[in-house]
Amino acid sequence: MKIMRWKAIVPLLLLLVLILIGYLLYADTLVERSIESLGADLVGAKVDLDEVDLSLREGRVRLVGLAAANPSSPMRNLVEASEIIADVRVVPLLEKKFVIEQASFRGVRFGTERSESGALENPSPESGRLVREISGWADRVRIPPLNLAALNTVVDVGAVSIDSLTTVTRARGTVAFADSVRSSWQQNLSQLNPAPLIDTARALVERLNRANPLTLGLAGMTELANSSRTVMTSLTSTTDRLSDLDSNVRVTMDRLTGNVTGLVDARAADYAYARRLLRLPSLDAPDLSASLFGDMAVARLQPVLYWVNQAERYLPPGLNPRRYPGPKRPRRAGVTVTFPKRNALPKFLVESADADLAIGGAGAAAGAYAAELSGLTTEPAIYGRPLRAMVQRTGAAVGPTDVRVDLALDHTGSVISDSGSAFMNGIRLPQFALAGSRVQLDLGTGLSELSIARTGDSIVGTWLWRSNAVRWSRGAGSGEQGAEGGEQAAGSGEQGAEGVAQRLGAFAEDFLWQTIASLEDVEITVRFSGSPTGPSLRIGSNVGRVLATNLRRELGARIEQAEQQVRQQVNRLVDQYVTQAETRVAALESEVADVVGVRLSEVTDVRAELERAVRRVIPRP
Amino acid sequence: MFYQPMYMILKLIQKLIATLNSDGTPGQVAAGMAIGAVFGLTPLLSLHNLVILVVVLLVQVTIPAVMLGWFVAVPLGFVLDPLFDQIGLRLLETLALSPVWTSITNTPVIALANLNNSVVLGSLVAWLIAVFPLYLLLRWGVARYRATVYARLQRMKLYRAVKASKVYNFYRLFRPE
Repeated sequence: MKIMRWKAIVPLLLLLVLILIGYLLYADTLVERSIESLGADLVGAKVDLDEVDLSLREGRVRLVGLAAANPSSPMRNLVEASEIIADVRVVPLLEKKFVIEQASFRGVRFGTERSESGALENPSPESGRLVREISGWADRVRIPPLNLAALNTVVDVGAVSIDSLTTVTRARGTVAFADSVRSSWQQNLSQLNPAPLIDTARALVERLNRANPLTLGLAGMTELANSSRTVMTSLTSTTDRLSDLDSNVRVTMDRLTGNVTGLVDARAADYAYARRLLRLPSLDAPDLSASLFGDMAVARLQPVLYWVNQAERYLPPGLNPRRYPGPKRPRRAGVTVTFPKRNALPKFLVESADADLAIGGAGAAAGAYAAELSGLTTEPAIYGRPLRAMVQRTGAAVGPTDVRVDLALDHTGSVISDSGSAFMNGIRLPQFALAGSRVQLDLGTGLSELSIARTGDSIVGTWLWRSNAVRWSRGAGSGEQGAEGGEQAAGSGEQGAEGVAQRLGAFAEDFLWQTIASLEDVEITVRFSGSPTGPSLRIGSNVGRVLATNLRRELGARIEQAEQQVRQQVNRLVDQYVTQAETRVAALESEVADVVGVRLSEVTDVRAELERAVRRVIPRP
Repeated sequence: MFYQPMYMILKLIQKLIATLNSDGTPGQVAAGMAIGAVFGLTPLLSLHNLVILVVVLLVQVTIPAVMLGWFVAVPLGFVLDPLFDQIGLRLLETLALSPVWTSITNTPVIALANLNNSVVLGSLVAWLIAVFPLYLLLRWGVARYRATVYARLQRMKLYRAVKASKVYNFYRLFRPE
């Protein structure tokens, strides 16, 4: 029987020709779909492409009409490029490696409007997780509320509940613990009562002191030696057990004493807790700055953190195998594991790229920019060089501006080392409502400077906004009009006039307005440090400092009085429990702990006495 | 007139199958079904399936049996995907095999086979393990069928009626020679 079916050669060749024709017809579409899918995964919003022109013979890919939607504002594009031309190395494609020697981006624009929403119906789980993590951080950031209204209300000390006070809980715990160890130690002590043994040992010492070997004879001396040995063994055993108990007592007493000492800190924490209940405003400048600008800072930091984390996800350090979700298909996607190989090409590499950027409109940022990038790769450890990017303004359309962005992402080692800075002078700065008030601040045109550094899982950075031509305005219903031409702002967004009045009160808002409305220079500095997905913030501002000074002058006495009332209420509630804990621990020390020490000392003394007596009567060779 | 191109394609396929399926021993039918199972068990658009397709066309196995094997294995593939995923992932994460995967995923052309995907690898390995026992089992089954069921079928009126119809044209592709 023949094994080969030679007649199949022709149909087989026909099939291969069909596959080749299919590739030539649909390769562009396949690449277009792949870029749209990968881009959406990267950005977290839709990425559209008008056209892909693939010319493998020349090693050139031309993308036309690329538009990536902004995930946080789906009706706008994050970035748009009219044309991208990439020179691709063909041979590495056989290893599923995409190496771009040179890429040029033309007609790049930012923030353009979209005709349809760019929100994804089913965003990738990983992208969604990151957004959720960073949003979660934004929700967790504790921004001290700016609430001056509490100053006008009677201090309600009854709001401080005894069950919420840490001091009471800890004092009760200390008492219970002291009672528990007392009964345990007393039981041990009664079992270990050494008094009969001490009496026996002393009687034996007396006998030894009076003993005369000549009169006792051999039998008497033997009996005396055996008695001494038995008593000595018992004394040794009792000493050991008492020593164990004594060391246990000491450790436990240290712990109990520590608990009592810790009640001081607990009381301080309770003061702070009770103070927060009354919503007394902090008079510290950092707290006030955080109250005024915290929301604004968090909102602006979120996209920065998102991209810092995306850089880690797509440019992972090290050479360990990496797991990615498999390709989308009707069957289960599974997991695709990549195995980076040293001295080979990375899976994706852009050796160098340049771009001409343009920001349109008549704003201060409008103009032409040039950008350069090198070493963008998904496997930096293989490529061995950090990613470097630079954006610089080449021509201003309006106003004197200076813009420069530098970025260096070094993921070549096992520890990430990123740094970036953005210096933008003469650009339009944010406009926002001060938290908890109807006062609006328009920073106008000024300086924005961001510097950020990441080493491993630690991030540190500073973001500075500075303007010397700010405009203040105040929402409807207030007593005074805006400082500059009586501007009226539409209020602070979500807060209706009634809600705001409840939160702040006319007096307090008037005070805030009088304090800050005359300020023409504003500087806000946000320092962030910690984990890249949830750093802690420190916010400083000259507005906060001025407000703190004025508040101390005007309201310091009133706040001090309210704080005094709060402290007294806390003291009234916790004093008896603290005293009870202190007394119980002191009693435990004198009644049990000291007794153990005394008994141990007695046993040790009588044992030493017995040893001396034995040596005298029965000298050792 | 509108259906003429479709008719021509169908006739071409029929002729192709008739030409390629010149004989069909139990071994050839069983081999066809066992090999055809790979198209249903593993993700269809994979490089290894293209290679196996070439082999199927060049080697004397029963083509309709290949299609039957494929058809039967498709739902099985979907059901067993979680298992394939686990098998593949276990293999990909086995440290001892890491050099093998590193070499495979960095070798030209072979890298296009997506063997570093857990489902592709898991399903392919599962099929490779199953293909020979499956072949033996199917060969025995086909032989038994021809010796017992087919002989009885030939005497049935219904069978004779069907045999006279168009349906038989397809069935005869499986008929013993």
